[in-house]
Amino acid sequence: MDAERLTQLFEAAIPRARLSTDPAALAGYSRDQSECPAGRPDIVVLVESAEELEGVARVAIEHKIPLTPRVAGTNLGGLAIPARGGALVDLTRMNRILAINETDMLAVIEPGVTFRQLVDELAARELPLTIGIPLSPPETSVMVNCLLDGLGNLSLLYGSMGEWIAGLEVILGTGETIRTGAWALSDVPFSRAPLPDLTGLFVSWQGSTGLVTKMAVQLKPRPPLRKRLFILTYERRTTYELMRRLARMKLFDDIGGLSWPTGKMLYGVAKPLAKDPDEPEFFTYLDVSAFSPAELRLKLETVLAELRELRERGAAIEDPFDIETLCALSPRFEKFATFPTRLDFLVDNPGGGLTWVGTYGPMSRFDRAADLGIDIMARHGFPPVIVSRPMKGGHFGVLRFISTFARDDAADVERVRRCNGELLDMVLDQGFIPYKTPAWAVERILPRLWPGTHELMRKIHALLDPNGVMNPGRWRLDP
Amino acid sequence: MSAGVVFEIEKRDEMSLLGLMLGEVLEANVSRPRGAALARQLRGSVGVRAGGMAVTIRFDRGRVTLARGLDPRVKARVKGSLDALLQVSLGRGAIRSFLTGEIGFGGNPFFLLKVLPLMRVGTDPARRLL
Repeated sequence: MDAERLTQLFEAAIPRARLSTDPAALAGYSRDQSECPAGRPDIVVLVESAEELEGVARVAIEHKIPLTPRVAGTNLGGLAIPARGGALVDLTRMNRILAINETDMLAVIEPGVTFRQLVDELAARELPLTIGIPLSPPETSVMVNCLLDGLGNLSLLYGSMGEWIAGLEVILGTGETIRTGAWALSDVPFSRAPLPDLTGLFVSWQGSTGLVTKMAVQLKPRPPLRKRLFILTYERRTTYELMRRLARMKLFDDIGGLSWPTGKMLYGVAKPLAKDPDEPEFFTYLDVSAFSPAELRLKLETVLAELRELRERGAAIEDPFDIETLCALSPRFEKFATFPTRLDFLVDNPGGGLTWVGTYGPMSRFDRAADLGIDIMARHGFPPVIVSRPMKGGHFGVLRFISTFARDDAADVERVRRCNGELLDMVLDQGFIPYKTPAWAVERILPRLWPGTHELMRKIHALLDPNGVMNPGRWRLDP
Repeated sequence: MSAGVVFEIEKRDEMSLLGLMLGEVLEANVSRPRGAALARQLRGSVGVRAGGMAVTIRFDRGRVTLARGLDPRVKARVKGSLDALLQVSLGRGAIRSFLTGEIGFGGNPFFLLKVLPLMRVGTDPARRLL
């Protein structure tokens, strides 16, 4: 369909000034920072309201035009890159915080609401509430991180962000608008329970089952006292042992282990491939919050006691130091002091390319998977940047292998593809599963998936998006 | 080049986090006129061990080099936990840390006393010596 015809069709829903078929504008939406192949939309549709989005969906369904929703485009899996052309639905202007309910600890937001915006709004209202904040840039969409079941800095306590969703309002691929959770019956979207839980039909489906116009998301208490500690550990096994022990105490907000290259990259070493044999293997950070000084003291004493015990058993661990000390030493550490943050040494690296194999998996296998992953990354010439975090009280964890690369260098792109491919096969062998799963990873996952699971996904998809217009190309669901 | 003082981290890409942290502090200090004046007077090396990491700082009359590992020929040595050394770098409780043994030192204490101000954050080293 030519550009003018597309413009005419969508003009029924959106003013012409917010439609673009300009090649430069289209090119800007055709890639992300990852190695995923580019894909150009035929038109960009800048939506400002749920009503407009309904109109856009009507046009797309009637004329079978693929819709690819996008906010910041910061995911590293090509999930907002159009796989079949069509309309790129830019949702950045649908950015209203529709309600904040302090008593029930809920926010109702549109897709374009960013972490920066929500955190600032809670602060402006002086509410002792917060949202789980990821390590992605501040302009990342809260809703997208929830719908893609990402994580945040409170996922140790409360699980991945998909679990924080209390209810959704969704335009299906049939053109119908539905609500999920208690919101389908109550004016307060207090929970996903107790009606049959339909919210899962839209979590991790990568927009292939519907366009979400509103999300009710849980907020969590924000205790007034906070400490962020850094603990240096000299062996991976010690790090993971420490994580597992601290995670199940349910005393801490977040625990994360960053492997040794991260510290060097923070100091401007672009590709730290050689480790000083004497330096720590991991920088483990620990977030502690409390409602009273006594509670904070107790939690800190618990950490110190754990470290003492591990040391007595031979573990090589430094005394913890707090983020204020590090920031006083160097302003470089300020990017670890408050969230949301921009980890510029990764996001703004000189080559411009950033990718990962990011997985959820059993903490019992962290050690083995990390060992194997480090070997793979070293073999392909990438610094072994690993992020490990326990989630949901230590029931599982996130294990990520992150690489920076030169986005405009075909050889480097090919190298990072091979590296990620090997990493993916390895983590799947170890029982880990990628989240925010890119299409290339789906191809390797499907042959391993339990028989019938993918077929059921296809049946559900066919029911909710019979015209195949909702972000096609995800999970290989198209007929 | 810092006010006539050359500062260098040997094999920066392979340097430990301790070295990178300390290097940033040293570089900032020797870029100030009084720190540079002090650095130009010094000749000899100091070994720093924090936790499992070790670096050697060599002063050679206007040339300051930070290298991995502990050179056995150092004039003075300082060791302690990374946290204790960071606190000293921030000028917090340095004397107490030495007295309680949280931080240990060896070799020539007078040379160490001259060098320590260059390892402190955000201070004018020469002023502290007065």
